[in-house]
Amino acid sequence: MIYVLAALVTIPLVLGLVSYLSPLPRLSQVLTVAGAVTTLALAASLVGTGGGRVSAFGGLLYADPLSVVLLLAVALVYATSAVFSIGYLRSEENTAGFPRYARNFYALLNLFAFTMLLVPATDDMGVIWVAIELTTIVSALMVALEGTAASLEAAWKYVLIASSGLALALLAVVLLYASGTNTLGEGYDPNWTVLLSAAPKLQPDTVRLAFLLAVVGFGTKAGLVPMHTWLPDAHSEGPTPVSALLSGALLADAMYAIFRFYGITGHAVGFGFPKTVLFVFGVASLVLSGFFVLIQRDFKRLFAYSSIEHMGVLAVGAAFATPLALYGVALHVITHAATKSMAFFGAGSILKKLGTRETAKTRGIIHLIPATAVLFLAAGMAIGGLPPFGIFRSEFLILAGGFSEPGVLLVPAVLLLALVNLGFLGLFRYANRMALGEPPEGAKPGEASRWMVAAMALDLVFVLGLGLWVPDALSAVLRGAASVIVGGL
Amino acid sequence: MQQALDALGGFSAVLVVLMQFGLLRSRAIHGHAALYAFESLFVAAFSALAGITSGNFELYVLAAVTVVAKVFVVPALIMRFTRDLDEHAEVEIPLAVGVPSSLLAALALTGLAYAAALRLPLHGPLLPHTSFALGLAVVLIGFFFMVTRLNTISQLVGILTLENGIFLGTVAIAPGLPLLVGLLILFDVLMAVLVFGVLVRLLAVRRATVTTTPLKELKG
Repeated sequence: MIYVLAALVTIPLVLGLVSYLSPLPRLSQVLTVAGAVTTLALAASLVGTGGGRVSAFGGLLYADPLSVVLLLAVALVYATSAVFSIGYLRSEENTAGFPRYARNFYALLNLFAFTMLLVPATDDMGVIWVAIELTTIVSALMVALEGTAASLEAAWKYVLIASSGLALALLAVVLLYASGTNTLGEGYDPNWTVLLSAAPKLQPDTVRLAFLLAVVGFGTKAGLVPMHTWLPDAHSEGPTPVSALLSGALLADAMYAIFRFYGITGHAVGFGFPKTVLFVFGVASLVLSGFFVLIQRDFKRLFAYSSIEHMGVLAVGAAFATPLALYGVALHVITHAATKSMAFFGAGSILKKLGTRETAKTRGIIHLIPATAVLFLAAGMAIGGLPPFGIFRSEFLILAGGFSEPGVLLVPAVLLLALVNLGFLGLFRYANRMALGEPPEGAKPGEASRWMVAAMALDLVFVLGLGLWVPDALSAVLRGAASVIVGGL
Repeated sequence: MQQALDALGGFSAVLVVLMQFGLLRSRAIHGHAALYAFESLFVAAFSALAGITSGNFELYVLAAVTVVAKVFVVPALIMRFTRDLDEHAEVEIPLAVGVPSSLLAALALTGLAYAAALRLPLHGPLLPHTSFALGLAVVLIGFFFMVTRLNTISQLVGILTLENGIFLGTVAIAPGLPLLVGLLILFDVLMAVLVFGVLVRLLAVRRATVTTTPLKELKG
C-alpha cells in the first residue's frame, strides 16, 4: 500500500517535469492522460485494500481512510481533466503561440495534480500547509494562462487573497504546535496522529485559537463565506480543465485540512466549540451562495457559486458530527468532485462551441451538441441534488444524519434542507433554458470534441454510479473516513 | 550571559516591528525592498540568538538560510521586477490611508497584538515571550499595509512581511518546529515571489500600470 501511495504522488511530479522539457505537445498530452488514468487506478486500488492506515518516513508519507477518499476525488478530477484537455486544446492547435502554451499548460496541470495529491498523503501538519500553499502558487499561474486582462485580474486576486488566508493558517499550525510543547516536549514532529493522541493534554485556549485561525485560513482556500471573494473570479476566468480541478479537487483539499484540525480540537476542548464554528461558516456559505446562484448570468460563475454552496454543505455536515452525516460528508467529497467537474466540462464545451459564457445567449444546445447537452443537463440535475445521482445520496445522508439526533440539530438540518433547494432551483432553471429552445442562427450542429464528451461520460460513471450503488469496499473506506473526521484513530 | 541574550533577542524583535512601521512610511519600491531586507535580517538575528540560548543547531541553519533567501535573493528579485517596469518604479505609490493615520493605526494594532498574545498561556523556552506579541503585531500591520497600498509590488511585500512576522512568532513560542518544515516554508516563499513576479509583469504589460485601482472588473 505504501508503494502505491508513493507512486500516486510521484507520477504527476515526474510528468510535470517531463512535460516542461518535452519538445512535442503531443507527447506531453499522451503521457499526461496515461499518467493521470494510472493515478486514478492506483487511487481506486487503495480503496480496494480497505483503507487501513500506513505511514512511512516518520509520517511524511501517510494514508488513512480519509486520505484515501481525498486521493480518489483528486485523482478522478485529474484523470478526467487530462482527457478533457485533449479536446479543449485542439481548437487552439493552429494559433501562433500554441507549443509554448501547451508546454506550460501540461507542466502546470501535472504539478498542480502533484501538489493536490500531496495534501492528503502526509501526516505532517506542516507539510499539509506547505502543499496547500504550493497548490495556490501553481494554480494561480494556470488561471493566468489565458493571458486576458480579466484572467490576470482573477489570478492576482486569487494568489493575494489565498496567500493572506494561508498566512493565518500557518499561524494556526504554529499555535497548534506550541499548544503541544507542554506534553510532547520542545521538539517533536507535528504529525496529526501524534497531536491527536496527545489532544487531551494540549493547551486548550491555544488550540481554540488555532482552530479558528485554521478555519479562516484554510477556509479562504475552500471558499467559505466571507473569505470566498476570489473564488468566482478564479473559477470562471481560468481554462476549463483548471476550473474543474479548482472546484472539484482543490476546495476539498482545503476542507480536508480543516477536518484534520477539527478532530484534534474536538478531542482537546470538546466538540461544542469547533462544531459551532463550522456551523456558522457553513450556513453563511449556504445562504450567500444560494442567492448568488439565483442571479448569475455567466454559467461558469454560476457553477463557482455552487461550489461555495457545496463546501458549506461539507462544513455543516461535519458540524452535525453524527456517524451518518459524516459518512455523507466523505461521500459528498467524491460525488461533488465528479459532478462539479462534469458540469464545468459541459460549460467549457458550450463555451468552445458557442463562444459565450452568458446563459441568456446560450439556447438550444440540444440541437447543436446533443451528447454534450444531455450530459450537461444530467450534471445540472445532479448538482441540484436530484435522484438518482450521487449528490442526492450524499446530501440525503448528511440531512438524515442531522435529523437523526433531534433537538439541537433539528433547526440547522431544516435550514440546510431549505437552502440546498434554493440553490437547486437556480441551477436547474438555467440548465433547462440553455438546453432547450431555438439554437442561435448560424450555429452548425456537431460536438466540439469527442474527447470532451468522453471526459464527461467518465465522470457520469461516478456521478450516476454512486447514486445507484456504493460498493462495499468504498463503503468501508467511507465509514473509516467518517470516524477520522471526528478524530478516530 | 542569559540576560544579555534575552535583551539582544528582545531588541531584534523590536527592530523587526520598527521596520514594519518604516514600511508604512515608504512610498517607493526600492525603499520597500530595503526595509524588507533589513526586517528579514533582524528576524534571522532573532533566530540565531535563540539558537545560542538553546543550543539548537537547527535554528542556526534557519537563520543562515533566511539571510541568503530573504535578505539577498528576494529583495534582488523585487528590484529586478521593477527594473523591467522602470518608468513606474520611481512614481510615488498611491495610498488609501495617509502616512500619519497609518502609523497611528499600526500603533493601535500593536497594542491589540499585545493584548491578544499575552492572554495566551504560552511560554516559549527561550528569549522573552513578548516576542510572540511582536510577531503578531507584524502580521496585523502587514495586513493593514496590503489593504491600504494600491500597488502590486507593495502588496507582494506585504504578503512577505506576514511570513516574517509568523517566523518571529514561531521562534518565540515553538522553536522546536522541525527544520524540514521551516525550510519547506522558505522554499514556498521563494516560489511565491517568482509567481508574483510573473503576474506583476503580466499585469504591467497588459495594463501599463502597477497600481491595483483598475482591477475591479470582476465582481458579483
